[in-house]
Amino acid sequence: MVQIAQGDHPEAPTGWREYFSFSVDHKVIGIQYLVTTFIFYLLGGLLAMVIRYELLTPDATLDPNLYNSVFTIHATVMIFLWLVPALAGFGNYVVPLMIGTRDMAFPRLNALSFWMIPPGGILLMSSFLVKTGAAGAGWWSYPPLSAQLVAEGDKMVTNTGEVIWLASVIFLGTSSILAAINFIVTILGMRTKGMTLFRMPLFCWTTLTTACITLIATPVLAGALILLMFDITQGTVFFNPTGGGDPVVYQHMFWFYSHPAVYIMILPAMGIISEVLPVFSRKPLFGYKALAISTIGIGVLGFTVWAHHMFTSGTPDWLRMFFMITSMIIAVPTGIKVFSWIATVWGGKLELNSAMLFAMSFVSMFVVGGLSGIMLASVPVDIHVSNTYFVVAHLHYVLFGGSVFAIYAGIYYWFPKMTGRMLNEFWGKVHFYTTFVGFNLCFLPMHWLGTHGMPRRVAAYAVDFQTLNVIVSIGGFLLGISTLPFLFNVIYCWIKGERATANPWRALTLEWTVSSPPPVENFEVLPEITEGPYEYGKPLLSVPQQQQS
Amino acid sequence: MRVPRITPNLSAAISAVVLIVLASLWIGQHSDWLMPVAADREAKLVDDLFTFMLVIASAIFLGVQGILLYSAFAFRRKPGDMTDGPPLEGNIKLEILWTLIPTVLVLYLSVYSYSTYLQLGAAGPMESAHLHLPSSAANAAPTQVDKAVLPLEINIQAMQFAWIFDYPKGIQTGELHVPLGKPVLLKMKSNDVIHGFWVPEFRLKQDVIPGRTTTVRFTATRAGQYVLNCTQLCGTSHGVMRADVFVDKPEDYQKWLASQAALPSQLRTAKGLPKTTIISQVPLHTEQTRALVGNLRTQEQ
Repeated sequence: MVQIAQGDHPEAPTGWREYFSFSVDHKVIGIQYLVTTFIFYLLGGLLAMVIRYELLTPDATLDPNLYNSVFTIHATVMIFLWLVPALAGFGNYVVPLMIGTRDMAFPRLNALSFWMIPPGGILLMSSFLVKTGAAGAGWWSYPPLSAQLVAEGDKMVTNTGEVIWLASVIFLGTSSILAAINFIVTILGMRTKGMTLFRMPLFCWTTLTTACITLIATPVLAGALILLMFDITQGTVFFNPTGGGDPVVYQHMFWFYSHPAVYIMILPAMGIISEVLPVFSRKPLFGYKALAISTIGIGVLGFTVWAHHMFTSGTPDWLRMFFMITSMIIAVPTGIKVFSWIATVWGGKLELNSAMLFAMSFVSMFVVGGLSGIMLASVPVDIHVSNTYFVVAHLHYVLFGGSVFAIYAGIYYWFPKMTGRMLNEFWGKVHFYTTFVGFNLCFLPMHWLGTHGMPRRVAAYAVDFQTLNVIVSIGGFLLGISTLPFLFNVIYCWIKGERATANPWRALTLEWTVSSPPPVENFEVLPEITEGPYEYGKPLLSVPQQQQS
Repeated sequence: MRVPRITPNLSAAISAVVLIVLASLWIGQHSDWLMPVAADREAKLVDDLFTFMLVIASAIFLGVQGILLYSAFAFRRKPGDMTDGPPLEGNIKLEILWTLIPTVLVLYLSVYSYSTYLQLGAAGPMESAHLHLPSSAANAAPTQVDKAVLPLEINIQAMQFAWIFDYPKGIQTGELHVPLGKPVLLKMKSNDVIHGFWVPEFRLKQDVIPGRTTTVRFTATRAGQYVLNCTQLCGTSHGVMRADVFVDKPEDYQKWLASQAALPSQLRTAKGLPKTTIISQVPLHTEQTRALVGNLRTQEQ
């Protein structure tokens, strides 16, 4: 099944040029994913800065339609061009190394799924340039709003920005379906000798589960978006009530994907944390099997909770109750994870470097988002706070304090492996502390704003809310600034950083047994596995790992 | 019976738990600032549930953050120490404990939320009547309020970007007035896209969806002026799609109603349009919006 990069293309470019080519090496593709998505993250972040600029004052400053486009594209970029593909980037780079194989199962498909992302992203961003402006109906794109004609001069015309948005999300969704197939086949079919499922590092478990979720959920989103596209461009009435359609059906189809999508964005992040914590605590991952099983549990339960996004949508009582209970129950496997991480840290010998600081604050911030999540699952409370800044706070605690912190932890952790260079710890810590302070300054006050009456997606708000909004904006700008030391650190150290040994962290998973960066095809001889991945503190019987630099 | 010996570790752990519980209860006692004033019967129910969840959330929050912070200081690796920590792979008893306790907790929260919802249901956001479904809520908890007084019905039209309130006898206004202490039933329709009805002080929210009628029931308990916000993104001026809400003493309510009946209709409805709405940008989708905007334009001239 494996095709090999160099053998496939005898004239394949090498060095930095390789990263701009249709390389089929999973390590090149992984880095292509990470760098590309980080650029989109910075663009999405700039859009967030515009949002925080608008909200410095209670009255609308920008053109209201532009503002609607800005937050719509901010969310779309952060979800479809940053979190989902960035985590797939880690999967691409790390998974084949972790399970002891030479490449992904379908290297060309892998390259294709990456190369769909830049055009998809450029298409999306280009919609700011069309006359109707970019899509402005929120990333949910609820009809009838998303299907409305928009004013262009004196005429009412089809919303070109919305059509581009739909096309680009369908395109990016296809990319992630292709990547998911690749992950599933690779993990199930290409593990090295002795690598049983329960000897896989947890990151492989979370990637596998995520790929299954993607494969089941994304086609439903594509279906919803295609029907919406027909409504907009062909005048069909699938979701148009004046023609007998039902806009609530769209909401069900949309959230059937988009709630599991939250797990697509958080499960691999949890996997990263489960790799980083044991290494820098020098202890085995506490409750490994429970963590693996709770991952599957979250994946399955994740498909039964979607309508909790629709508690105020006009859903009947029994439906509200059913989805409240399932949403509450999902807190149990999530709790198991949090407690296991804490128990992993407890009594260890902690090395508080940048990777570990981000990993520990992941646990800390994710708990906040989890707790507000339980409140949101409760129908009576949700009826009050849904569609307010309380929800904005909640989702950023989960997806920024959670997923983004984990991605940073992953970058600090695997950068030496990927580049053969160490990152600078001083600038890493500057990055961590500015991010941590900026994050909480930005998102903590939003809880209060939400309960007290500030709806989400507004350009104007009550004068009473200004002080807190200014604080939130300062936090937001600090978050923007916090990426500078990180960028400086990564760029400088990639070129001039201290050389990394094969295993600078003394970690036990397979990727650390090969040189940094690993050779093409990863392993000269495929390793044979006799133990689990986190045997810290135990005398080792065989040593498949360690020391070749 | 063997009495477990109290070691310093055990006593420290017990003290920490007691402290966390006390702190969480204290937070629960002082949680008023986390919610706006309560202006209807339903708000009290929601706030009690919220406070209860806040206490539990605080305990978990303090526990987790406390352990993480303590670990970051107490278990830091000494410089030069290259040895590993203890090879603890798990602890079945502990893992069963932290699976069972959260399970019981969330099931209890579900039951508590459900019972609150039933009480809201008797006077809260309900649609089963409209959808012709057997309503478990109404069957299970027919309150006296329901039987004793027929609610005052007010029809609401939501449109880009205004709220119009239709009172009996054809009185149409741009402000919502409700009498204090009387159950009110709002029947809401949308003329264009999805809007959301939310008065934070009432703790009630319900989307207004084109093609169907959605309802909100409540009994206001505090006289005053509040703001109705649109909570579902509805286009250009979504952020300023607000309306004033007045909870009037019954005699004031009657006076207001009489005064409205005397006014010409354009003046009454035009009040509902947000002052900052950029008129030229309001898409003229429906007859109602066209008429409304027409009224406002006439007034400005």
